[in-house]
Parts: sequence; structure tokens; C-alpha cells
Amino acid sequence: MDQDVTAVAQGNGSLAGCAPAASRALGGSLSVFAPPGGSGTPPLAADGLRHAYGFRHVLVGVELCVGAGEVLAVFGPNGAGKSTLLAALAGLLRPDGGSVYWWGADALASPGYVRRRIGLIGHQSFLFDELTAEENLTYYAQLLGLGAPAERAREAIAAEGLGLHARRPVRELSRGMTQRLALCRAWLAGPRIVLADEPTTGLDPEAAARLHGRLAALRAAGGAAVVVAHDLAASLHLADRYLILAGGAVTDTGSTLPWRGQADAFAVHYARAVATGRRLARQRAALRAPAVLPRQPAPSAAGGIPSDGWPADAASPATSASPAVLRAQVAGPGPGAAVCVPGGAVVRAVLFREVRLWWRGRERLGAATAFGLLVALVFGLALDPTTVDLRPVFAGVLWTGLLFAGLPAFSRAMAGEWDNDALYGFRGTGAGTAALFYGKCLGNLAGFALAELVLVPAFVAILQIRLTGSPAPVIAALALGTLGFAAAGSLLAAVVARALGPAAGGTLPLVSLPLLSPVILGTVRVVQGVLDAAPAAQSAWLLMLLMYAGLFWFLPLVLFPIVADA
Amino acid sequence: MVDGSGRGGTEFWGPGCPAEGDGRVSAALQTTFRPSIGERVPAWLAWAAITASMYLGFIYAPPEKTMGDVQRIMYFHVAAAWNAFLAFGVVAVAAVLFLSRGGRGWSRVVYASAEIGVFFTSICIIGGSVWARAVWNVWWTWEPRLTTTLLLWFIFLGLLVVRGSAEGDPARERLAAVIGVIGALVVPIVYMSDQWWVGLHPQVITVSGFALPPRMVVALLFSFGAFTVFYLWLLGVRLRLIALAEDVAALRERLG
Repeated sequence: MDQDVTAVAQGNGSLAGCAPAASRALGGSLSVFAPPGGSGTPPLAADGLRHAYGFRHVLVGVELCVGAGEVLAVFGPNGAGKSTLLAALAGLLRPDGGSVYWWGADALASPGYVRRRIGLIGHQSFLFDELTAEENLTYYAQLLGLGAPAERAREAIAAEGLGLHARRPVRELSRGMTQRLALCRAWLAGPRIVLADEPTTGLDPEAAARLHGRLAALRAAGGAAVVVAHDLAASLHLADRYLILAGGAVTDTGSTLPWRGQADAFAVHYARAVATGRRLARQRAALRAPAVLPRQPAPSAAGGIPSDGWPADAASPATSASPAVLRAQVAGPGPGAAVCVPGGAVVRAVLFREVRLWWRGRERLGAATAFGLLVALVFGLALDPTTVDLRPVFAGVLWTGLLFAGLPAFSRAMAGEWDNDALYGFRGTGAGTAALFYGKCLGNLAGFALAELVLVPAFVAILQIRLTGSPAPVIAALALGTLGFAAAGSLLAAVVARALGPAAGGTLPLVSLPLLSPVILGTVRVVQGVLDAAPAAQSAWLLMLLMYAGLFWFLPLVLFPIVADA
Repeated sequence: MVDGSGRGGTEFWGPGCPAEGDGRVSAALQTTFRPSIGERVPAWLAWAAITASMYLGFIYAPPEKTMGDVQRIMYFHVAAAWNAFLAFGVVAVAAVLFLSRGGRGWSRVVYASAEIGVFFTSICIIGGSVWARAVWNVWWTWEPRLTTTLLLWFIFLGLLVVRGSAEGDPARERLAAVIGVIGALVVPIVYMSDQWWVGLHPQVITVSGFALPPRMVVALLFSFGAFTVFYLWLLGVRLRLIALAEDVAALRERLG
């Protein structure tokens, strides 16, 4: 039975820009990237992709190539590694082994203007639920460096027929509408490679037809697409070629042409290929085969089906294309993304988005402020300021309240970046994640400062603190502490949110408070020194506060990209 | 092949490995359980050195004039503090190397060294507390060095929480390494705290040398060396155990 599958794979492998899979199986000496008519390298290729999550091997040596003007459908059962493959192809996942090439250049090292021409439609929408459809697309247009971003967003929404819903928050949109908006987002900069994970999910027939139209236009313009799908019959018509992934390996590939109109026969064929993949995976799991597939499995001996790729002795697809050549290959119809998006523009876009999010979630800001006030009330009740002068403990009590108010809010704000996989969308625009941090950090600073405007006077009133002299030094000391806390708190909240996921709530103080201590202790001592009118006695603390506040503003330049990439 | 190298069996099960079938798997794991010569030698050295340092600390070194015999805690208290700094220094270097170069080995060093660091910080704090009770008449005081050392203990406890939840996920291991790097930046405060802020804590090591009689210096230096060997032995054992745990987790994943 397996021979039938192999025969199909061998018989229909010819692609634009990539050699047929049969060439290797038949021992042919064709170069995989022998271009049809001599036109350039294929837009998308992957060589020996391996990846594991912890000890679970998800991809075990996947090779593929998608030629210009070609749409590849990827089929496979749940857990086959399709989404991981797509993330690797999008350059958003650093595989444990192997490489992805866009127009012959290593994807992970590709410049931003290439990355901005990769349209990714993920399992999640990459959109912010609290923002409106228009705000979401404007934000992405800004990140992509498109001119007149708000107009571009409106045009894209209108073209998709969502004009009536442009001002509605994404959380109010139906699944299908959200998916259509996600398609608009992916097509904002006129992508040259589209990577789509079940893009027709939730789409009505009209929207599905529009998606087919988009893919047809991409194909006509010499672009490439990889579509992960479960609907075999529809995908056979949509794609030029298919690839079956099972157990983390390619078990079959071929042209879709002979199968069109024979969906039932293809379903049987698919089931056999999946069974083969699972058998190989079981053999690997039982330690009878190595954990990692060798570069060139022997299909006849293993009873498997040749994977799509190039001969083991073929040259690497990486070419040393000059930037000018690469730019020419990437260029195509459509608005096109900016060659360079300055970091300042990204920070501004993120900051505006953050301020909007803080405003939309203002009940959370209110709750955090109320939490801080509660601390003041508890201390006020316990210490009774009418009988005891609370000035010596004021700074400590105030920062306890501010910490209670600020840390969970920062944690929520940071975790929001991973909601709907929005961070994937951000990274897909080629913008630097350090700019994301500074935008968010400034947003957190604004939110926290707003809460302080309420909390500090409230603490002074509740604890009956009488300020002698000018309040300016106290305000300066608090502002310095706030600056340090915003940077350190944002970085640590991101680390904890990323490391411990939804369970981070309880662990957040344990992990972050000790690391925040240089900033917090410094602020408390400096504020106390100013209140006691003896600032000189606290000069060492001021030095420490300045040092660590500065450190936490610069440290994320190096550390946040690591956190975000994790 | 695997023993004593601090690196475990992920290579073990890679292509070309001899392990095929369950019998071979269990045999392979048993060999990893057995400490190698490379591990046994530091073990003997560590115990001999600790015994010798006890002799030097309790018998060879003279009693201190004011505090009397209780001052002898110093030989273990200061050496434990040294080991804590050493362990956290190793965490910082390994974390930077892991983040910049990758490689599971460095991640294991971060984990192992942080655990040992927490252990020695605990010894340092407990020993110091007993000593403080004898000479300052308090178990604890909010003195800068004490406070900052306790913070250090909490920082690395936080690191262990994150690293302990990694379960083989390199992404989480990288996040633990990030905490290690930030934590290591707080260590200088601990050391400098006594010089920046006026505190009760005595300073035995200053820029001009040891403020101690020669015999005490000999005993203290020897205990530094003994504790360092002790640290290295513990590090080797812990690295092997982490590698072994990862082998078992990988096997469990593969066998379902």
C-alpha cells in the first residue's frame, strides 16, 4: 500500500523553483533549486528543521521548498507539528536544528524589510481584544512603517467588507469577523510569502472566496504561500501542491492536480501517509530509531515515503544574495513596507496603544488604586495617626501600598502582550522587541504615575503627615523611585509572566520583590531622608537608587529580547 | 562516558547510540547513577579538607580576646559566605554564557550552582545569627549586610522557583538565567553594603589585608580552600543528578 503512496509522490512533484521530490527518490542529479526559466531562487525553503519542546520532539528533520507562484497545503493530524513548522517558516521560532530560507537568505538573519513582506496568519488573531478593529490595524500599519497608517487601516477594513465594524472592539466581533480582520492584518503590507494556519476557520463562503482571490493574486504576482488546513477537498483546489506531516516528519508530498475532484481517494491516501508517519514516530519513541531523523532517511528500507526536499549532496539553498538583489526579489505589487522603521516610531506606536489599553481597562487601574488605598487604611487603623507620629514609617508604608497597586497591574499589562499571540504579530513586523519594552514601560510609567497622583495625597491625608518645607524634594525623590520601579517592575513582570504563565500571580512577589529591592529600599530611604530633613544621611541610598534605576532602564536592551524570544 | 562530566544522556540517546530496547536503557541509567573517579576524588578531598579546617579553626587558631571561643564560628561563617558569593558568581557567568551561546550544560550549571548558593547562604545566615546572639545579644538585626544577604537568599530562591518549573523547556531555562544575571548585579551591594553604610558587621577582609592575627588568617584561608573544594564536589554531584533527571524525563516522554 505504501508503494502506491510513494508512486503518487514521485509522479507529481514538479514545482516552480524547486526540483521535484522524485528527483531524489529516483537518484536524479537535478539541483533542487534549478529555477524554471532561470528566474531566481525559490521564495521559501527549509532544510532539516528539527525542534523539541522540552523533551518532546515536534519536528524531526523537515525539508521543504515552495517555488514562486506556488501555494503549498500542509496536512497532518493534530499534534503533527504543523503550527511549529509554520512558526519556524515565519522566522518566529529558532529551530533546534536546520534553517529556513527566504529568497535564499537565512530567515533568522534577514533584514526587517524582508520580514515585513511575510504575512502570517496564526492560530490566534494577534489582535488586541480591547482595541477596535481600526486601532488594531493602525497599530500594525505603524509598526510596518506604512504611510498614513489610519487611512491604510480603514481602506483594508473597507475592502474586507468590515467597514461597519471598524469602531467596535475586537472582543465584540464574531470568530469569523476576527479571522477576516486577521487576514487584513496579514495583507497590510502586501506580503510576498503568506503562511496561514487554518485561514478559512470561521469564514463564510463569501469571505472564503475573497481569501482564494487574495491567494490567486499572490500566486500571479510570483509570491508563495503555505496553508495549513484540515479541509482536504477545499485545499486540494486552493493549493498547487500538498505535503503531509505526521509524527514531526514529512511523510508524503506531491501535486494536488491529480487529486482534484477525488477527495475521497485522497482521504484514504492521507490516512495511509499519516499511519506511516505515526509508525515511524513510534519506532523512534521505542529507541529503535534515533531521536532525530537522519538528514536523508531511506524511504524504501523504512517503508516510508520520500520527504520533500533536496538530495543530501545538493548545495545549501543559501545564496549570498546582495541586498539589492534581495530587495528586487522581495519587491512586488502592493503598497510594500518601509525599508526601515525607526525604533522611535515603534516606541511611539506601542506607547499610544498602551495608553489606549490602560484607558480601556481603566477599571483595572481603579482597582489597583483602591488596593493601594486599602493599604493606607489598614496601616492608618493599626497605627492610629491621631496618637502616633507616623512620619518615620511614612515612606515604607507608602511604597508598600504602591507596590501592591503597581506590581499586579504591570504583570497584567505584560501578560497582555502574549494574549492572542500578539507578540508573534509584533515580531512579524520586524520591529525590535527592545522598542516594544520601552513603549510598554513608558505606558506602565504613565499608568503608575496616574495612580500615584491619587495615592500619594491620600496616604499623606490618611496617615496625617505634615510636610514641613517645600514638597519639591519629596516629589523629586518619588519621581526617581517611580522611574526605577517602572523599568524594573516591567522587566520582572515580563520575566515572571513568561516563565510561569497564568500561575505567575502567586509567585510574582517572590521572584520580583527581592530583585526590585535595590530600587524600593533606595526610594524609601531617600524619601524618608527628605521627610526627616536629613537628606545627606541617605546619600549612599540615593547613589544606589540612581545606579539601579539607570541599570534597569538599560538592562532590558539586552535582556528583554531574550524574554520576548523565549 | 557520561559519569563525572556533568553532562547527561541526551547525547546518550542520540543517533548512533548503542541503546536499543529496554534492557539496554536500564543498564545505561545504572551506570549514570554510579559516581565516577572524577567525582569520588573531590569528595574525599572535600571531607579531608573540612576535617583539617575544623582542626585549624577549633584547636590551632587562638581564641579571640573579647568574644572567646564563639568567634570560631567565623571560620565557617565567612567561608560559607565566600562559597555563596562564589556560587552566585558561577551562576552569573554560566547564565551569561547560556544566554549568549546556548547549550544545556550551562543551564545545568546555573541551576546547580544557584541551589548550592542558597545552601551556603543559609549556613552563613544561620551561623551568623548564632554568633550575633552571642556577641550582640540579638538573633537578628536590621544591619545592612544582614539585610542584603537575606535579600540575596530570596533572589536565588526566586531563580530556583522559575528554573524548577522549567521541566526541560529551554525557554524557561533562559528566563531563569535572566533572573540569574539580574540577581548577580545585586551581589555587589551585599559586599559593598558595609562600606557604603555604617554597620555593626565586622570587616575582616579589607583592601589593606586581613585585620586578624596570623594563626587566624591561616585557619580562615584554609577554610576558604576547604569550602571551595566542598563546593566543587557538590557542583559535580548536582550536575550529574540534573543530567540524570533530564535523561529520565526524556525517556518518560519518549516511552509515553
